[in-house]
Amino acid sequence: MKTNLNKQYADRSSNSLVSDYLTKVFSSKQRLMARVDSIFENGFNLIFQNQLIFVGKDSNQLSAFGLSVPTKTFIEMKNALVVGQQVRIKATFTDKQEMDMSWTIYTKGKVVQIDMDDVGIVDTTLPKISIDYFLADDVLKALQKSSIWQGSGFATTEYLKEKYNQLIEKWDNELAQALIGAGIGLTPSGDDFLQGFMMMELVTGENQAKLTQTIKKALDHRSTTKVSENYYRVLLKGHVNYAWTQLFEAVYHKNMSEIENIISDIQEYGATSGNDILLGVLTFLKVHQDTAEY
Amino acid sequence: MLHTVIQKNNYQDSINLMLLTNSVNDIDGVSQAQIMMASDANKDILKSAGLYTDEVEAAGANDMAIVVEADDESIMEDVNAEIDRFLSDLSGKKDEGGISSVNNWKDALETKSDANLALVSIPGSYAADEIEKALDSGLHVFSFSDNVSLEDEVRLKNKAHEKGLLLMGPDCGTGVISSVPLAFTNVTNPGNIGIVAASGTGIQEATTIIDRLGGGVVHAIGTGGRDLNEKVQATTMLDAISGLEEHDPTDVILVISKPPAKEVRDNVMKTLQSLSKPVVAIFLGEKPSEHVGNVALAYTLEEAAKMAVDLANGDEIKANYNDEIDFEVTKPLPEGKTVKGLYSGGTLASEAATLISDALSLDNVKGEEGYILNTHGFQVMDLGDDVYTQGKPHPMIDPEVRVKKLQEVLQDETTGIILLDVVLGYGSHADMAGALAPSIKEALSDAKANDRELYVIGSVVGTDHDPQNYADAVAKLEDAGVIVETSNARAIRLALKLMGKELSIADKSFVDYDGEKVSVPAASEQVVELLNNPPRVINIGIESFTEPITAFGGEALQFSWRPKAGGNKKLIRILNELEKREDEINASNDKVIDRLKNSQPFLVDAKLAKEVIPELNTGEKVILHAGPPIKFENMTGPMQGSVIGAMLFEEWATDEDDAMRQLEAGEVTFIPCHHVGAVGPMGGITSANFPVFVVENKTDGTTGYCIMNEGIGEVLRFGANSPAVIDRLRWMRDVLGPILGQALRTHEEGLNLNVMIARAIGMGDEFHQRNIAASLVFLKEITPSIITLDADEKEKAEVIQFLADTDQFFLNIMMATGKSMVDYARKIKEGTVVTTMARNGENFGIRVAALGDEWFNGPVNTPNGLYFTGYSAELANPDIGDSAITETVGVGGMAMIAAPGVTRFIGLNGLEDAQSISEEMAQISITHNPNWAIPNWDFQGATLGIDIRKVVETGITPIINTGIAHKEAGVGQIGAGTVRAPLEAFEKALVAYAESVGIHVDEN
Repeated sequence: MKTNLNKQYADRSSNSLVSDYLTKVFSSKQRLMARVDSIFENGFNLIFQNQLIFVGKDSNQLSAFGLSVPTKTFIEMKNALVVGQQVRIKATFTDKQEMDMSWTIYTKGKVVQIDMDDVGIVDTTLPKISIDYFLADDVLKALQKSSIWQGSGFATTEYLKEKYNQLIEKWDNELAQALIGAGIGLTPSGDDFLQGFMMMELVTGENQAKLTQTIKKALDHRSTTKVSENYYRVLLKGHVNYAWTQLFEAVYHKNMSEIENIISDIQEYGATSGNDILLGVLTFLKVHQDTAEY
Repeated sequence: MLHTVIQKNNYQDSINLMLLTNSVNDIDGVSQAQIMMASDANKDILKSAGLYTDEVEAAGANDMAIVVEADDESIMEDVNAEIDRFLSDLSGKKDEGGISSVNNWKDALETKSDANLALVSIPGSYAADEIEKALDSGLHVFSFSDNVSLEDEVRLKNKAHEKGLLLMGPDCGTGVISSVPLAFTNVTNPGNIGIVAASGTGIQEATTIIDRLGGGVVHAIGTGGRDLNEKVQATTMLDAISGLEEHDPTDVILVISKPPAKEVRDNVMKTLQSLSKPVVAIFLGEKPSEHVGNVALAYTLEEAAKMAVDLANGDEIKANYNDEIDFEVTKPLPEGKTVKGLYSGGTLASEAATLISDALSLDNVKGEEGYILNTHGFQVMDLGDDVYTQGKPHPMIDPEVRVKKLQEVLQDETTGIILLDVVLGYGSHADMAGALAPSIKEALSDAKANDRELYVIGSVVGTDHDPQNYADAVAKLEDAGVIVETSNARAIRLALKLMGKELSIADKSFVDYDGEKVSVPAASEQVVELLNNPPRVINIGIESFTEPITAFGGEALQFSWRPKAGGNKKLIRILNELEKREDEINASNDKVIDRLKNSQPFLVDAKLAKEVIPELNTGEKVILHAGPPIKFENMTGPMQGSVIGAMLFEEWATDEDDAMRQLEAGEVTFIPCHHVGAVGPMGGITSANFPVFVVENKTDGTTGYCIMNEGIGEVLRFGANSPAVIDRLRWMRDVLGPILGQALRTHEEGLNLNVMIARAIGMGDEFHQRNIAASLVFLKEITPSIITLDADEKEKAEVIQFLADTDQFFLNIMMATGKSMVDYARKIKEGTVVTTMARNGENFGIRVAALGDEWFNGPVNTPNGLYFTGYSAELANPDIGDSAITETVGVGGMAMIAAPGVTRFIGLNGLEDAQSISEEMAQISITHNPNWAIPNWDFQGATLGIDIRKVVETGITPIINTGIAHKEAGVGQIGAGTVRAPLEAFEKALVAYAESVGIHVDEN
């Protein structure tokens, strides 16, 4: 298949980065009144019309629906935040790769205003890369030696393990639906796994995105966590976390040391989340390797 | 180069001086400095430091020596300034931190020096004055208080505008500044909507609906109900709108107005049309058919709130916001049935009246007082109106009025629907829904039993963040059978639907505004500051208003206000007039205070009274007495007993009967001690041959005299006149007085009393009730001189023994000291400082600096205290004696903190109570005396300068520590305790002072 990797990357020296997916959300209105949804140690979620906006301080972990800001700004924001209160975001494009943002955090007693100029816009769209790049010996080996299974939620949850074994024996899109919302945490392992698999469908163009279509339909009547729902939504619109775009670029350029580093970084996501997604990726490759009789 | 300053007779303890030395050494240009008392030992230290100068050598142990090494002599200006600052700060030290309450403006403004808002919730008749003071102090004002006259409102709002301040109110029930709730208020989320409103439940309804819709309010600025009156000209509304226009976090402005004057409405509309931000406006009583230009016009508060939320979210205004009423009405109520609205919120009641009249085409007739609508059986009542709340709490606080009204309206057989509101939030009843529920249940149950069709429809103004919780309140009402709607407008619409008259509200669209636009005035700096920071509030009045402020990010200091002068209008007017001349009066008072502070009292001699008081040396029978002038026949028993004793002592009478005969014949002349430079304890009785102390105020030689202390028990000053008493007086005349006089005269300058007092106050004396330390200090100073006198050894021993036995001996010296100080100060005939307090058993008299020798009297009180075994309060003589001179100069009861044990005489418990007494006394005093620092009081000096203005304003009268005499002559002392000076004396003095400075004193 044809490969498409004409990505426009922002200048990574920008203090703050925003996914290009979010810029579409921001530009939908003159101002956006979001609400604080959840606050964690290293990040927080705002919500605007069911769309989460994740703000963190590590640009390498920029979410598909996220912003990363400098640590000082992050602390300033976090100190002002209270779950349930409103945050006004005004964003204006300065050029295709940057935007200026003005945040107004409404809290009792004071209004905190934070202006961020020249926020770099990061392309988080999925590229098109032939499956051959992934099935190359080196890439597969890099995945296989990364103890993905051991680090995933599937290794410790009987229900997931059982479903995995059934699927690995014979892939069945309908059966895979059972993994929606399966597991614990903000992004259940079942969702992460499915998203890894779906992501590979969309990148490689293999399988006519059959699982992706199945899951898209299933989500109309099956529920999962708010965060996972958001990841499904952005994925279905062709966006992924920044780290994945980096991985795909490294795969395309067959940069093995970069591939190994990024896999290692991804494995650090959440308790099991990174490994769960990688397991989905690996399973997709295994299924297709078998199909292709590699 | 060494520079020396000697401050004569300025005694400070060594710790203070070390701290001061460090402070002076920190001054740029000072090579080294040392500040010490110039005692011999300290002179040696100065020598070894190379700081010994001729001036130091000449100084004495009671002098403070400041020696500075510096190249530039002009540095001494800085040094002297630092010494003044340090000593004054030391003596006037204020508590820092932890102060949560004050009771006067001065303390409020000092404690909360960064305050930007005064929240006033005091009775309306006093509110205008306090609002004005707040404005004059540069504070914005939120006036919860109502009953301010329209005239005052116009004047105060104009003043606020000129000063760049906002006057929110009067009658502003609720508000939000920087998302901090004020007064009666709901807890809502902050957001990008700014409200300017007539206030009250209009703001509450709008903000809570906005909150429940997911929006938020950053400011809700109340204007008061009359702001759009033609006389007020929307002053606050326009200033607030300018502020919100410039306030970046505000994206949408919501204006809620009571029915406005047309001209004012037009003017406001011009401004609203000229803003850069979208506006939603509701003019209550108007039913707009379209939106105009920049302004979306609403009919109901609910509609206004919904439109504001849409605009806040950047969405378009919808054509119609009146969702269907879900409640299904199968059969409307029969003809003749009526609706009764029992509201606790005035604006909600107005909304009900408007909607019902519009829908049923009724004239909006108010009828009798208390009704917002009253026609054809349809009634809407604002139960918060004065008609219903005279002497009763507001129906948001107390369910009683509403419960009674509910029963009353049910008597009307036409009543088919009862409308009501439940307003949650800070300030409201903790569970109004629960409190109303039983009555509602009963009413509905009775109606059902009687086959009567009755509906109770309500709405709850609140949020889930409110202390009462919105969902809980709704559940309780529903459980009681109330049909609860999500807004007042929907509740009214449901009522109308049940009446078979659905309220139709047509779609609205925008039309262009073709009127005049204006240039929106810039907001003042103060308004910008207010709207961009958490409010820092001085809360004057209802204390609970501080709770939501501090709970949600603001700051608040409680000003526990009480009416000035006990609410006496005449005195308040005088105080207000005097306040206008405050600078001038304070300058005068400073002169008097400086004299008191700078006094240099020295005990120089002891002589017979006639030798120093010419009035007693005329050969006539003249007797001095305590207090203001009094006739013999009006004297109480002890004073009369003392008079007789003095006549026996002077051998003017052979016995008591003889004395009485002469007295009744008017052969004896009486003069107050105070008129001849003297003071006397208890009866104060002094005649020619009483030995008296002579205290000289070295500043200008003013003297003060006082007889000597006879000890305790059966003594003349308490009215005893037995032979033993007379014998002791003779011994005092012949032995004690002469020996003490001789001994004192051996001291070239006399004994420095400031030094002795400063030492003794640190040892626990307050110099009225407790003098043991000072008496010992005196004994220490005088004994060596007595021993070396060329006098009879036995007599010398008797004197020393008498001094050693007499714990209160120093009291009389202290009294003479006080007299020498006040008479020096009284030479400045200006200002409002009390220069004399004295009692004669009948009257408590005071004199005031500006009014010279004139006495202002009030009836004496009877002391409260502990009694010796066998005696009780019924036997106590009314307050008597000149010893209140001690309190006049800031010791005695004024300095209770120095001798906390004295509090036990009046059933209190020591240090904490003593401190609160002294803190209270500080409120009526002008300053502290740096000469007499009190260790227990963090080395603050004793209070100084009782100010008649402060006494009358606060109603706090000086507390006097005193001995208690038996009311009958001859018995003597029966106890000790404290007594308050009567306010009347100070009030009379204030009136006289006001007249003396040309203030017209109106009796009405």
